Amino acid sequence: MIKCVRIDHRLIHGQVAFSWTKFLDADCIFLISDQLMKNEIRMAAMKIAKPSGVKLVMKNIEDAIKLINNGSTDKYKLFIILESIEDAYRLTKNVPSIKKINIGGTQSKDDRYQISKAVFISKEDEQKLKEMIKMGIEIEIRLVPTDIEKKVHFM
Amino acid sequence: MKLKKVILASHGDLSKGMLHSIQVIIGKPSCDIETYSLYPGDSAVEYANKLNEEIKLHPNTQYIVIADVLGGSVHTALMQILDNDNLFLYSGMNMSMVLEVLTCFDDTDQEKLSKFMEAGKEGITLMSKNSLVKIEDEEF
Repeated sequence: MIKCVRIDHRLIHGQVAFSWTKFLDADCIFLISDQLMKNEIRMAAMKIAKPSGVKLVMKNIEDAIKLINNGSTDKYKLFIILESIEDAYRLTKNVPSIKKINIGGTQSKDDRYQISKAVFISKEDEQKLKEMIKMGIEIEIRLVPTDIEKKVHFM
Repeated sequence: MKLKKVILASHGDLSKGMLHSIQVIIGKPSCDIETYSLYPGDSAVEYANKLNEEIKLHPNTQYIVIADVLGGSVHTALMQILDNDNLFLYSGMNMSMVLEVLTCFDDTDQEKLSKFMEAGKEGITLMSKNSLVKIEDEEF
């Protein structure tokens, strides 16, 4: 069962590891990122940052889609973390069971504008968010669980 | 659920800084929390006596006190009031431990209290380029 799908460019860090995992009562953190799988030191850092008592699985997007859709992940209370809006779009396009996405933070870059304290999006991201909303996916911005959910919608 | 009060107690401003740093990570803690700083010329025993009175007035509140260093004057003074059943005193305050304590949303029993201490111990590591910990990849 998917408990939460979160976009956070830092993947596992203090905020995620402690407050979200406990709040969600998740028993497995599932990091989905093509970039992460190419970086061994970063993968090691994720294993160390992981809260105790929780399983951590890391996969690229293609493998993750297969695993979720073929039921391999069903028995876990999954907390999925992705790095970018683009990755979230690729995943949700292929995993219809995802109905809600939480955005924690995205990286600030030159071609991006700010929509919230820690969230920066490009024109392409905007397009993808709009499409996901059209697909019926609820998108909300929230850094820590105790913050108030801020729904994303475009004029 | 039982009421819980967490007190971070230290020599100087470590406790205040700890609370500040914790809030950067988890936001505002959901339980009652305060800090105590012992400054030169202050008496830790005086503070412990004051806390003792407070604890006795709130027998249904669980007091979790986290002191900075084992055997320091703050910890030693607080040990003198351990006759209270609802007081639990840690030493060796560190961020891993305090995070565990503050993100426990359920009742805190003896087993959990020990787990928080273990988390604090596990949070202490030494790494270098040649000793990067090899941890097996997990699968579903």
